[in-house]
Amino acid sequence: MKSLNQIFFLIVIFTLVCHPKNVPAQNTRIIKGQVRNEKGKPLAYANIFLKNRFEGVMSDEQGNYQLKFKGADQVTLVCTFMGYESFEKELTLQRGAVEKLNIRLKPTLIQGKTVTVSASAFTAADEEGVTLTSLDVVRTPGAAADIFWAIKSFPGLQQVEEGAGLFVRGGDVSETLFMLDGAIINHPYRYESPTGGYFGTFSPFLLKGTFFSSGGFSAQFGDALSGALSMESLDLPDRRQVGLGMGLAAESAYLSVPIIKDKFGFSFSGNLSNTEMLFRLNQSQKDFSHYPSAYDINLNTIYKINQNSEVKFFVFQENDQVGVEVDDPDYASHFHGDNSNRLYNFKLTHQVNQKWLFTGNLAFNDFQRELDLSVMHLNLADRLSQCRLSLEGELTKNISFRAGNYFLRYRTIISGQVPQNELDLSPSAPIDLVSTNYTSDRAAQYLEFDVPTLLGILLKAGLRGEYESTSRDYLIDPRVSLVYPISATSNISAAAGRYHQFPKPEYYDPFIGNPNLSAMEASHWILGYLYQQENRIFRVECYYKKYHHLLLKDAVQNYTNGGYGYARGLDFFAKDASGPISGWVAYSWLQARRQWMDLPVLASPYFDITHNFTAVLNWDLPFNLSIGSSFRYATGKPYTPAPGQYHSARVPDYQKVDLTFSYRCSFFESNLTIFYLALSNITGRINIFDYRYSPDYQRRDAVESAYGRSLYFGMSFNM
Amino acid sequence: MKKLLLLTIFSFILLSSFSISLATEVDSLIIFGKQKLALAVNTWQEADLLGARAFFERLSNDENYPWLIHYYIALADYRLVSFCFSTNDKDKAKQFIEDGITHLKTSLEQQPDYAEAHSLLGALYGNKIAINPFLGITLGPKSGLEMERAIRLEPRNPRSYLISGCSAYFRPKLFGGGKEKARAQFERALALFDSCRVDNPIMPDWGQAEANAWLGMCQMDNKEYVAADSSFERALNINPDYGWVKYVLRPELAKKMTQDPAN
Repeated sequence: MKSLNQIFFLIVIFTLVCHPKNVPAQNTRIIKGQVRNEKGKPLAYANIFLKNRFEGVMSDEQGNYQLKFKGADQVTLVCTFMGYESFEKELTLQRGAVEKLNIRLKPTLIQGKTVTVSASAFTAADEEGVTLTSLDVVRTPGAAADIFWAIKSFPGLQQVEEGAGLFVRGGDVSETLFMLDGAIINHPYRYESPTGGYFGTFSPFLLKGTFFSSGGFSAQFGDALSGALSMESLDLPDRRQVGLGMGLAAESAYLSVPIIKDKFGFSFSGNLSNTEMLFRLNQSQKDFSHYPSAYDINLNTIYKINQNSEVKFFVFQENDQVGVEVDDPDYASHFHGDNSNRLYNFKLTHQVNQKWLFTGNLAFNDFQRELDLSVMHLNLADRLSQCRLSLEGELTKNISFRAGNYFLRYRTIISGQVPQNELDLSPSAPIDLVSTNYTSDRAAQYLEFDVPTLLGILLKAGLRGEYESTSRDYLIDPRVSLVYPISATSNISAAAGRYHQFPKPEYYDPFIGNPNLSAMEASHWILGYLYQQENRIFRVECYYKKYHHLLLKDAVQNYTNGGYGYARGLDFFAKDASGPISGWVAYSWLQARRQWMDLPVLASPYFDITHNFTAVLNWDLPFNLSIGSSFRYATGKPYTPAPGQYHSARVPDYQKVDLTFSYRCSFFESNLTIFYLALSNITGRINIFDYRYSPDYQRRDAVESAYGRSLYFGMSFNM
Repeated sequence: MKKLLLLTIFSFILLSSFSISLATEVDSLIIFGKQKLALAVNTWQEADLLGARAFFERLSNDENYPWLIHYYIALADYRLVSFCFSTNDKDKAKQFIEDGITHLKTSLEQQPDYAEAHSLLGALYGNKIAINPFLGITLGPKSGLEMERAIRLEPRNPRSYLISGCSAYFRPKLFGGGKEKARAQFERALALFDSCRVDNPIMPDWGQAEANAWLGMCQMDNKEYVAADSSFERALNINPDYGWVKYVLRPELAKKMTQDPAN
């Protein structure tokens, strides 16, 4: 009993003594010093305090501070100031000690990590990490509310012709990768043509945002030599929204319904377009036997399983048709194309823990096409099945990573008849029958890290490995990108990397192709400077790309990997959105040379457009009116004026001025209605894209743009 | 056995007195912080507002009510945004808006149904639109949604209506706003301030004087000068050092009354 009492007594005394309120006063410790920023300027009213304790002070007008505390030897001092990274330091102080600690704070970089650690990716949007929002696309004059047309007004993209084809920094249209929610899209264009297509397949209203890179892109993107475009579909809707759009050539409807709030919902959209009225109104130069028409429907279903997991099922179906007169000096003919594109994408995201995110995708893309031109009749089916698994997150407080694995199966089935001589399509030309089936399996892995290094340089380093079953090649691409922040508003960026792209499966065919082909390769070197402040951006980038092992037509083997080339240039971009008048200017200078496909010598390919200039101006007037205008200028495309003088001359320069007027109003609460009127090519200039010569070079026809001055109007109604 | 039992009970009480005293220590700190912030709103000096914010920031590692601490940091940010608007410093305002949004999102992660945080988040989104009206297309609905959620969660919380009124005051009629709508919200808020009391002293209870000031401003816009004067009087009865009413609104009213004595 007695010892128990003693223990009892000791416990009481012990707890009373150790209670923080009872600690004697000589126990005071002092930390003092001055707070400055990275330039040495003192910071007034910075917050200096001890972690997990309540003591704290503010720095005075000279940045000086003095913090007193008691009762602990080891403390963590924290210093914070708006616009700067928070500072922490562990300190050990004995009783009565006075520690001098001068603090130097570093500014927080603008926009966080996603945008800064990427050379050549830039934003004209207000949301972070996104290049274009659907609103940007619709507001860009001359873009006809098409995503790809809107992207073409950025630097690094060449104006090769009027459609949506993206030619990136001296790269061909086939060298850009398109992805939607992590699934690769094989046929991103509508009204496909050898130079891309007239429009993009996806309406901007299906999407939350688009990310575009014109070079030096990370290891996440592969099988592309020149550019990468990644689109993201809408998230779980948080309220019901209905929209209707009507225009001279298109009708569209969309509906977003949250069935169970924050749990389950869907977005639906449908678009119907028929250009007959548009072309007739504008008295187009072309003679259509079937005016370009298309429809597409999309259903995006989202189910949030729990706080950490979500599944999305995106279904898309599109069909487009066009019939047009072909002007050939020797014979008249009609071209008829009928395409259908279907995409099914099932995506699961799961937050593994606080720091890691897992994403899994299963997607199937089925593209079917029928082509008829004189003696050529082709049915093409392009099927892509894919599975992707990826993991991204933070490894440590400062280092984040991204890793992933793709399995892809490409199947191409071609049947029909083609002319024996590609250039001779006359009705009596000899033909070949075609019936082929190609399969190519691929597996790709990527791993990359974002690491902060000395001097504040942010480094992104990655590796991508890719295997292809026909060539049995396994290639490894290193990619590196770094950003050096000069100040809170500017940085220098650089990127370098190796990029591979496999030829399409049909090129491996033993009869029309070469089964021993290997992948085409490009290396990018990019250096840039960015200045960015609220509402103002200025960016300049120079680049050099070398292309190797490109496909080259060969008399004996059909194709070899003997093609090569290079591209170098300068891109310039300036944007100001600070007032009611906002706009941007994009200019690129390019020099590209290639010897590939059927080019006989190292020469300018048809996408070597030396100067490309776009200026966009938007003016927000009172009474909810706004006017948008754009001016586009590009050097003419190269053409061959006589045999043996391949691409030695250029067609006249391309110029186009567009105006858009829009008026916003609300008929009732939560309604937003926009009426718009677009005038395209107000100068009426007939731009020439090519000269097509007869085989003896005696006669030529100009390939002109589809319309001169034209008018488009419509409205969109949302609630 | 009995002694052992007594021993354990006593030690338990002593040990738990640590946590109880820590909890009450945080409580009294929060109450102190609230007073500091209220004083800063009266003096309307940047140093005082930053001081109030800094005070709550030091408590952010607290385990008792972290969601409430983050709310108060955001509330200080909200006041600092107003201050930056009054000095036309848009860049700084933007920083405080983003900081406030971050803290409110943290608060809502910990306490998803905290109505006060939802309404304050709606207010900050509204501030963001005020700086860059183009964001209205995407943030307008988001702002409205947060405010609606706040009202749904706590239909009798006067601050939700106060914030909704402030937002409606500046939003064009064409987009669902307007001064009549704002006034209705302020009147609603005032009725609720009168009928609802906040019992827990650490919980937010700001806004009564403010709502009276806003109502006065609406009345002044509508040339109801006598009514406006009563509203400002009521505001000063609640908060005698209310700088905005004393040095801005009241003098403005006096000037208007001399120019237009009929009202």
